[in-house]
Amino acid sequence: MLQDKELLKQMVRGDKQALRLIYEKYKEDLFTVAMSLLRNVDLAEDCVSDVFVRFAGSVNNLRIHSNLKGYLVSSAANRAKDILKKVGNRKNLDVETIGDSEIFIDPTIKVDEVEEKRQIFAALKKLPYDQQEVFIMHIQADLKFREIAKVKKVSIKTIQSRYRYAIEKLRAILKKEDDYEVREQNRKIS
Amino acid sequence: MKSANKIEKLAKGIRFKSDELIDERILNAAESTLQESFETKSKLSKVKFVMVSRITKFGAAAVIVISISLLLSVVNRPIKNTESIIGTAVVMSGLDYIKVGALNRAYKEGGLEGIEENYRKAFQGSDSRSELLTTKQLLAEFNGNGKNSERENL
Repeated sequence: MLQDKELLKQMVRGDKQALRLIYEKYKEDLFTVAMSLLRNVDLAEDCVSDVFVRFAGSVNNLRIHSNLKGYLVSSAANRAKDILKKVGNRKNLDVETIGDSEIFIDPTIKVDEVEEKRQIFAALKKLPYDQQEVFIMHIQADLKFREIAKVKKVSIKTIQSRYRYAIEKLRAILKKEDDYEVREQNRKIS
Repeated sequence: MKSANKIEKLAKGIRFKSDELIDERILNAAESTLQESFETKSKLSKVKFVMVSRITKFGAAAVIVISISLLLSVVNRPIKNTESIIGTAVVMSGLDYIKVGALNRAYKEGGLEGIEENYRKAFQGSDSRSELLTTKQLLAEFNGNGKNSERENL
């Protein structure tokens, strides 16, 4: 597969095939980030579409300081934040959130694991936005803390501490849910 | 309680995929935007090339300076008359050309006498030294030839 730099060079020369290859390479990361932050299929589609169309339209003044993946993923996270602000401001808009069943899960994995993933996905929503963003960019989009710090223009320590808080909070939320389930099971038994 | 590692591992497995229709829609929009941007870029790049490249920048500046110099030299150039009324090539200003034109007209109408007549009329009543000169002397003075010798003859 062609390197990002080469693909970018070709795209800047107007090569549509290079644009398609970049999209194919990063679409899953972009959709995963958009869906995890927005939890709505239509909004996630709008988000990815906006990011990619803007990316294609910026060939005249493309300045990618980090790697291409970091640039696209952070653009998707920023766009998702803008969309959430807009949606929050529109009182009449009925935000259709995705159901748990819509989470893409590998059919080969065990049912227990599916349930655990569902729990984590639901718990993620309870985190402050900045922590959610760092967690999703690091874990789901596989970006390094250094890369996230660069694209978010904050110190690496800030990113690390946001991530640490996110993990602690997730653990606390999941523990609470586990405890509740245990209590419910005990209640049923008794 | 789930460990941090387990949470990370499980969260890594949560992935979302778009369907082909969405992909095609996004790609079509992106491709047409790329096309437009590329066309704009091609137009801009020519101007940018002139402005960015040091050689072309100096080249463009030189062309402008040369053009202005040529224009100024054409505007300020005196009108060339290949043959004067006495057959000698002279270079004259616009005002001289008008004077010579008037003399030519007078010559055609009445020969040397015609010129002399016009000249006398023009300086009648004046104390100008020119009134004393003959037409021949005047022409010689006008062309800058034999000025002193003609005066000496007086």
